[in-house]
Amino acid sequence: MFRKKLMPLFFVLLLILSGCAGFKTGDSKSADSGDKVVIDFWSFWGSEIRRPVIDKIVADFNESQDKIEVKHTFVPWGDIWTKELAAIAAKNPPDVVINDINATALRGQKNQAMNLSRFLEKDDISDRFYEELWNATLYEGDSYGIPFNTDTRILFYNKTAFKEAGLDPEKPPATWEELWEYAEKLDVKNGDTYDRIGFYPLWGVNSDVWMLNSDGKNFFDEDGVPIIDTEANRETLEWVMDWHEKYGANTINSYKSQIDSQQGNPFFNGKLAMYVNTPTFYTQIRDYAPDLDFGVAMLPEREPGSGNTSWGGGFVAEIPQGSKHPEEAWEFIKHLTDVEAQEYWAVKNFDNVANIKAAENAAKNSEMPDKDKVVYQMAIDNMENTLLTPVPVHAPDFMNLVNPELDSILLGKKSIEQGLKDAQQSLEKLIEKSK
Amino acid sequence: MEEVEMAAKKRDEERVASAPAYFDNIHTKRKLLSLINFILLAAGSLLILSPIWWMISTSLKSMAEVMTYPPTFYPHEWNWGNYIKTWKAAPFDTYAINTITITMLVVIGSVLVNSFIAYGFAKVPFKGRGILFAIVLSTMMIPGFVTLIPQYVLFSKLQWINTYYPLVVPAFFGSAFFIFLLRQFYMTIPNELIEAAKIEGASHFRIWWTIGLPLTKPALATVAIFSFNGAWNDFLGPLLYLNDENLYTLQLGLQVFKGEMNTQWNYLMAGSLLVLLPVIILFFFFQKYFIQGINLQSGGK
Amino acid sequence: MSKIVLKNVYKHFDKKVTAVSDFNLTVEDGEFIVLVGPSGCGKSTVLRMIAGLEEISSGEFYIDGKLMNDVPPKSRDIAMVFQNYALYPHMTVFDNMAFGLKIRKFQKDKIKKRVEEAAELLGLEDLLHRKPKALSGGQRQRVALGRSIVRDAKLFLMDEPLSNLDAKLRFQMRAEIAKLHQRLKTTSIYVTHDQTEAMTMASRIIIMKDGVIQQIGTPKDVYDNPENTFVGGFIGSPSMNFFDGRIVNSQFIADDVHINIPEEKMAYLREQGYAGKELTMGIRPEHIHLLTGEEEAELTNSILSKIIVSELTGADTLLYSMLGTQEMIAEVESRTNVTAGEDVYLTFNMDCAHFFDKETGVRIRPEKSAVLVG
Repeated sequence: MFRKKLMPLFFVLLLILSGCAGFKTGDSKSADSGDKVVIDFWSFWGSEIRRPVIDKIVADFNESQDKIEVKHTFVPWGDIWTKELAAIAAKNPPDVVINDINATALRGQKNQAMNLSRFLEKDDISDRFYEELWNATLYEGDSYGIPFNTDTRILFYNKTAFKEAGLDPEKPPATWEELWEYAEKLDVKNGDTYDRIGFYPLWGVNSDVWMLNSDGKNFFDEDGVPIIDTEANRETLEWVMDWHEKYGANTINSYKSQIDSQQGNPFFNGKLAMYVNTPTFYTQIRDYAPDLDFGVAMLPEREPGSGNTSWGGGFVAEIPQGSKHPEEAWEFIKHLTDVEAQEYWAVKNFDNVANIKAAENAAKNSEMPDKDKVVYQMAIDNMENTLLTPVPVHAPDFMNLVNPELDSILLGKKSIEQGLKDAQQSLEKLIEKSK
Repeated sequence: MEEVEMAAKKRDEERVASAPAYFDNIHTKRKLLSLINFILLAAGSLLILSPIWWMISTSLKSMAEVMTYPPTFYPHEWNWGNYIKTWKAAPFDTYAINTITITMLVVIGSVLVNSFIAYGFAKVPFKGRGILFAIVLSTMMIPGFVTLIPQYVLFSKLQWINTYYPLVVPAFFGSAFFIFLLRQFYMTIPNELIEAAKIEGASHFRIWWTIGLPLTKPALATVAIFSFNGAWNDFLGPLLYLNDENLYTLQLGLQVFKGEMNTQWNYLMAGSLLVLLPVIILFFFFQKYFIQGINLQSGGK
Repeated sequence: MSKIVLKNVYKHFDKKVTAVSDFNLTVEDGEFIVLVGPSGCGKSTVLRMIAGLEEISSGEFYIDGKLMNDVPPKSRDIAMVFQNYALYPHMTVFDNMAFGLKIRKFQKDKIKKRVEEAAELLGLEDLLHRKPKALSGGQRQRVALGRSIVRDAKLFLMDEPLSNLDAKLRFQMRAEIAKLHQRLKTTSIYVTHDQTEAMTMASRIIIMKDGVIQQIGTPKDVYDNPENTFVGGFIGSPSMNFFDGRIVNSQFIADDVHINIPEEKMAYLREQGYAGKELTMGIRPEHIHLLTGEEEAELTNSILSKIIVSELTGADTLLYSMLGTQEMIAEVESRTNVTAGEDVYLTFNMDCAHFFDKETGVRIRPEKSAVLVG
């Protein structure tokens, strides 16, 4: 009976649907392109600002030659990598995907991204990029992704507030000590609450950035040995705790949620005088607080000579393992990371790019207003100080062990000494286990 | 929410009205109590509704206003145009048609197929029925992420990636929860009804169609609503299986407003509200069945 | 025109429980057979096997000479009325009655004609557009009957159709069903646990117990000549009296009561070697009479009994007393006014008494060769 009555119904339904685009099976890529090889390119750039820029870069590439056609697909931020993993598992991945630079080596190790050495032997493009970025793409000496864009952390400060507090607006704080002194002067207290907060180090970045800044050292040394329980880190956390006590949990928490959710920021209307964030934060000031008079600076040093180390990240273009057209993908990646495309990206998006020449060109590009140029130049200058923290392949989830310890310290549940000691031990154990 | 409140209030009023006239002080006491009751319920409703208000308010602000500190409670400048801009920021017309297509098919499939399967489990005795049913139920215990990749690989081998088949076809193969829900409902239909129809000459298919379906309407409504909700709000499925942006759904479309650095909150909220609207409308019309389904889910009756 | 034969039919559930064993029955065309027995006796199972709702574990079932064991219910051409009516709640009375005809692809006007005829027969003309919910119990019962008769099936099955009705309606519907059968003459099998229904409606009664047929016969037959103590006790209300005792010198002795046995009965009891043995005597309450004069008491098999309870049922009165240590009920005319506590003389009409083997409960018959009526 089922076969007699329901099945025809079912087939009729399928028949109707087969007319619908969503029900055409088969390889959609090669359907409409004639002789050209169509390669799939996935990015998470779908916003009305980024989308036209990347589409233009793709279009330029497609016009520039007649063998390859790049089909760009927007896949939502964050979820793009879930989708990529599934596609790799099904051996049907796209040909180029934008992915997190810090996990590139890990994906190389896990055989998710393709080893690019064979292309690099022919076209060595490694010198296009900041060394720190390039190194982050390496696993056992081979590159698994080509750097596309990057970021760093710089200090934004409110010049108007500086003037009001009797500070020189052209002389941002150079050391942690100065940062504290400035903040004291910039604070405007109104009874129990603050009308203006000078500075709080954990808005915009986390304590690990300051630990990096304190001695220029990551949580792991070159050999992958954990070095979290250090004198410099202890001092850093003490310094952070001082700030914490200075303003008190109530004040800090009342601002924190808004800053974290990226909805509203007290820096825009002068309620916060100094703030650490990426250079791209500038675009928000430009768009949402155009009248704000602000300056940018490198992160202060812990003490004179300890260095203005900052922290950065970024994205690479990679060829997922199993791509059917790696040669063509490589051609596109070369285009994507070459000066022209990179400069266009940098200028249009006000974004730090991985290509050194492009970044320098962008800072001088006539399309950039003067204010943009100042911030952009600072970003470029700061690249020298910028360290990346690539995920160690033997302990990819190490932050899951470190973060609870740092939280305990900040909440006062553990002493700094104890917390760092525990973090050190659990990292050592983790490394031991996975080796 | 409001209906519940109204009902409670009405009940109280009736109670007050029926109070004996000579018990005057009790009368006023009750009136007071019902007032307090009303205030508490109203306050609770407002609390629950506040995120919705936040969405509405954000959706009407300019991005600059969204970013002001401290946040404004209502938009100082009402940007109704946000809704049009949102809709035009991505091909939302296409996304809407796509989503409606998928959702309709999923609902049709879920309602018919699960009902048919449940009928079998409830009313057709066959060897191994109990074991088979236990196996079906046990699939509810398997967390979705475990089957994610194998399922993807399967659909990929079927050449179904970048089509709606992976999103629609599973609905035509039944879902354990819906089967369970409908089976429970079928169990309340006396066997004699089925047997009477059998003797009258009806096949199982006929019985299911002419007697089973009409008699399980409330449960079917619940299934329809839940499957509608599931398909309408599905994010992961379309994300994984659709590669062509022309095939994208509303939920994927909304993601264009979220970026790695900043999110266009006003557009995101406007878009979310537009996408939420059909669900809210559905809820108002079929509240009863929503609650019924949730009760079943939580094991109540 | 249908003749039904069941041959050595068994029903096992789960291979362990035997619900029906060795069921043999031949139903002639137009008969009204009533299957009666206490709950769990297997009567419904027999009906359901006939309907095709239960598989026949072993044995054969024929309708008009065609083996039906593996024929699905829809092809057996039967109609069935269920205890709870099984009306489709979402359909009107008309649609309920038309359902089977629609499935059998009757023409629309033909369906209409048939349903209307049946409705008229059952007095449902004005209810055709109502839903079952809006009907009384009796009306629902009529719809269920109507649904069955419109199809003009070969065989009409009814499973306790009246048990959900109150006493008065039951009485009324009983008569109506009987009338209906008179008119339609459809071969019918009717299941009930109520012996009154069985007695009043059946052309033949089948009494079952524990899956085994105890007796098959006309109502009068099973009433007058119960095959065993079970049938004797089950058929008839109030129940037959049973007394355990011994036969000594043409007398039945229970405790210290002596009752003379008519020679005609004594002859075959003796012949079959029951003289001096323990056995069970059964006598219906209406065969115990009240003696009014003391002189009469002297004459016949009379017992002086103290009445424990006297129940007036209308025309008759039930007198509860003791025969030695065993309970006894007598049914006497109501005009004899006896009250509880009174001492009265009762006498047994021994011509109507039955004797049963004490071990097997089987009635001792005049001819030893008697077999169950098949």
